[in-house]
Amino acid sequence: MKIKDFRTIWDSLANSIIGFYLFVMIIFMILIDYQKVMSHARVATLSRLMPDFEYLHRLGAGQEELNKDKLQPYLFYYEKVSQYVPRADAFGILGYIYFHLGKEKKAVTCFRKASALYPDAFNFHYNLGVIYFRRQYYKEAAAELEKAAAASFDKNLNYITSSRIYFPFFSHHADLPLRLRRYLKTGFRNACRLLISSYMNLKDYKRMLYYSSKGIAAALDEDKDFYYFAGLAAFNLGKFEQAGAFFKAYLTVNPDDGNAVYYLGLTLQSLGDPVTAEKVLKKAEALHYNEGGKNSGTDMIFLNIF
Amino acid sequence: MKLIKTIFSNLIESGNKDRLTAEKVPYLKIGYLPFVFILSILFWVWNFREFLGGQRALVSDAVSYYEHIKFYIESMAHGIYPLWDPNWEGGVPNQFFLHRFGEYNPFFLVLVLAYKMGLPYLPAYLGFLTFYYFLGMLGFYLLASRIFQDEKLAFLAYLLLVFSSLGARLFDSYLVFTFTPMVWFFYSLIGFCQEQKRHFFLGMIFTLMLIMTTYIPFYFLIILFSFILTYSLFYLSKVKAIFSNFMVFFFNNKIFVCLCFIALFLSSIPVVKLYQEFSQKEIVLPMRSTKAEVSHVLGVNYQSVAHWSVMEDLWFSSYFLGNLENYQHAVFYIPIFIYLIFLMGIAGPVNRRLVFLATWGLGIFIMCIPYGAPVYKLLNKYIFFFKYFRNLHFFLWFILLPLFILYVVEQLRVLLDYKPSEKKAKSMALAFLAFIHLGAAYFLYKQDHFNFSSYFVIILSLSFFIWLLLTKDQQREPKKAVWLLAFFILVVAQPLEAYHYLSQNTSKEITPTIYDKLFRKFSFTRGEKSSMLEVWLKDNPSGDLSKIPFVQSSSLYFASTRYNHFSQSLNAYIFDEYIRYKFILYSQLEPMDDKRLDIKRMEQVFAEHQNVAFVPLGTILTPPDGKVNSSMAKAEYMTQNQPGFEVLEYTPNNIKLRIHFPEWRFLVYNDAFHKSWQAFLNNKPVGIIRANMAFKGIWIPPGENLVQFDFAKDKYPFHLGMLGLFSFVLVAWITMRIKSDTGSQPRFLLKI
Repeated sequence: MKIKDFRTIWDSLANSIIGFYLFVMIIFMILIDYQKVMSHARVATLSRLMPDFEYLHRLGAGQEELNKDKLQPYLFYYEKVSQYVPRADAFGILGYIYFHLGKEKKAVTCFRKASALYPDAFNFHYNLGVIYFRRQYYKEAAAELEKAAAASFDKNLNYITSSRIYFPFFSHHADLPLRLRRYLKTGFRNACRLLISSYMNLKDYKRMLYYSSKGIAAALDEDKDFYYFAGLAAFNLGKFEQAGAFFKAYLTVNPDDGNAVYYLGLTLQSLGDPVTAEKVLKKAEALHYNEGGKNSGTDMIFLNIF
Repeated sequence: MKLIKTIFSNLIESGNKDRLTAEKVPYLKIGYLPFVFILSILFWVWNFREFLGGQRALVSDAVSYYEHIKFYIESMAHGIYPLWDPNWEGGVPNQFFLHRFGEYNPFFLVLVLAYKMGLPYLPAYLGFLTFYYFLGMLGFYLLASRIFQDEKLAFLAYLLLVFSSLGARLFDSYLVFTFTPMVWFFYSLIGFCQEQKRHFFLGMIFTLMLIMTTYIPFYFLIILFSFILTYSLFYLSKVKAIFSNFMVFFFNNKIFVCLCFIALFLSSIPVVKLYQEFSQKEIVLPMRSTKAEVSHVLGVNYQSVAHWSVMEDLWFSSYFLGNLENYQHAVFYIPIFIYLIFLMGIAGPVNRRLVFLATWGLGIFIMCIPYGAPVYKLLNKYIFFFKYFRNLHFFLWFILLPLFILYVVEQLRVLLDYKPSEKKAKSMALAFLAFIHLGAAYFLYKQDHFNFSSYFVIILSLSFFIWLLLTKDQQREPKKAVWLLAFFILVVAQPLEAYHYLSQNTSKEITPTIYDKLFRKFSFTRGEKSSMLEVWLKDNPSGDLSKIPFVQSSSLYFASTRYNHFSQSLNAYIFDEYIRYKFILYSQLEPMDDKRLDIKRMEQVFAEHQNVAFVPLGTILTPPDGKVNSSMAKAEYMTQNQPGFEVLEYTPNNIKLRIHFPEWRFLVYNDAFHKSWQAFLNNKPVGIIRANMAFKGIWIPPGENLVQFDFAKDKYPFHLGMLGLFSFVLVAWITMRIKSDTGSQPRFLLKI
């Protein structure tokens, strides 16, 4: 290329809009700290878009009916938040919103992203477990719920309280630490309970017994439900003595549970006590037991917001 | 009606004649414009029908402006100039609110007239906003006519501005009150530089008067200064000619120019007075001035300025424009057609006008980036008035939006001049057009949302420009009607969808306000609900006041200094209960040191309605005759007219009472204390004692008394005089405009 050609290109560039834009871009690059400007604009915009958390908070606490219209501003906000601040907690809330809007696939993607970003979190695994359980993918549900149950309580408590994303949800509570501990404990209990139900559906009674016993040992169970499931698992494994003990412990707190009475009757039959067994089975009949067994967790299919 | 018609047609025709004088374009004929103008107005009204019909709520700042203008209009219609607003935070001087919307703007008299004719206020107000908006748009059309000397391009610029979201901002902001006079100022300025006619000069003066007395004039000052600077940079040789032309004009019209400057000077007096009023620190703007770097009440802190600026407005808008279904207020939107032209424009050559417009706009843009660019910081440090205004993002609407439109229309003008004759060049041009339009369509497709109107405009635009290219090849120009109609469809198609969603996304809940009631209906109490204290006492029957939780009242925007202190110091439960009553009668006073307030004592006295009013240290605590009366066990909180206490007359600026008691009473009127209030007892002036920290109090002697409080009575003639002055200048301007000799040759044609 000759110098003349360069001059021609230069002249045409100088006389074109593109040349002018290039010049403007250079000026901008010199004068403006682009990263700083963009970062400030994003943060300020997100602050402005932040909706009032009252509804989402109340929905999470089960105090509010689901209203998809009311969820729209939250969806818009958290989509933007997770786009610009791709943190696990942001994806977690977005997944929670998607789930309530009936977009389960998107919810699963969000929870997966969240759990990949912060594998030690209880909540993301738990929510994934709930969704799989709901779809009756018990194997996948059990895998996620096992991870949830194995998460550290204190680490998760710390993660929740130090998150800026979760922060707006806390302003409503004066006795926050106590409430959070209770909330998280309920979450762990539910995870364990769904895990037991998953294994029950998979007929893996060994794992069912293991997690029931673990739940009992961890004192997660205030209404002694876990004793019932432990008894059921032990019964199916042929460990009748153990099963009987579990059912009796359960019935001390829930004496009118027909299902427990029924299985206690069967256990007693297997243990070679037909007379007592007959009495107990008659009582079970009077209490209207359910052949299919006690509620297997379907009443617990709800997600945790954090 | 005839007058309006005459003005309208005269304005348009004169713009056209100017253009035709400068460039005799053969295919342009006057005749279609009024039709397409009316069509555009009707279409805009259709787009915003739910807003204009009152089915959608005004939001954000528009609510406050609606209220204050209503208060002003109603008062004026009753022959009262409302210098005091008793509705706002215990009563405030109203000058601040009046100044925000431009109280002397004679166009508001239309609203007064409508009110007098019995029209409901809301539709009249919304109609007025629409009128004022289109007045600004007409100014912009005329400005564009003068710049481009081309009717169709001026019309395109007008359409793009009309259907930008500036129009939607009528319902959530107050931009229009500043924008309209600003546009007319620049039209008059350009007009005056091109032709030194009196009406252009008077137009500049009148709009300057309006700008100076509306909201904050600093935005305009910066825009004007940056214009002069940039213009001088690019058209230095013309500046001298403009100046010499002005001098010629001045010597030929000495008296006229002097009178104009006198009017301008007079209109600056209220601004100075308002500044002085704020300097006396009787009123505060706590939300605005907290942590400000200057001690003046009007000062703003750097953080609040930097928090939201042009970039933030743009970034915020970008969240919504990907999918028009999300469209909401305050989103910066211009019809998609402008972006198509902008993209096509990259193929064109650059010219001085483009560089001038871009430099001016980019200069302001860079100035409006407080984070990440040094310009604003420097200006804030060295130029005093930068510490007195915030909302830098207003520059986006006031100047960057119209400049961008002018820039793009200039790009189109340059493109339209391109007439390829060779086959290869024509093919290249066709390919380029297809590339730009398909690229835009692909970009939209990637946004993951489908907005039909966007694709429709892209297809139509591509077809139109291909057709243009082909007709140009045959050396045939499309007819004017085709241009206007094509531009009209290309611009308005997308807003039809966008504003439909805006309407859908705007609240229907119209919250009632105190200003809904006629100001003349006096109420002895504020608010109709139970006070917080009453609610608390219901839940806590023991009534142990020490157990009331402490809650601080929310921060105030504008209030008297002492009222603000009072509200922020007292527990909100007690404050809320106390402020409900407008009149309280006491017989005992107690001194209270303003610097060391005993808040607990005050709260107890107010909560229990004790017979003690607090007055500043040094106040004589007994009635003028020295007799202390102690027959009252509790303070009397008045809730209605009753024997011995009657409100005879009430306006925002004064109140007249008839009071008859057998003993001395100390009357506390729970309306904020201010030095401009005067009290009269049986038509004789008496001193007002500041009572209960922030309010007015006077001693009432035994027997029947006529008590009157008046606010700034001596100032009414001044304000009415100013209104008269503004109205006179406007009428003179319109008259001169109509009578102007549009056929005369310009002395100097400014090439902008």
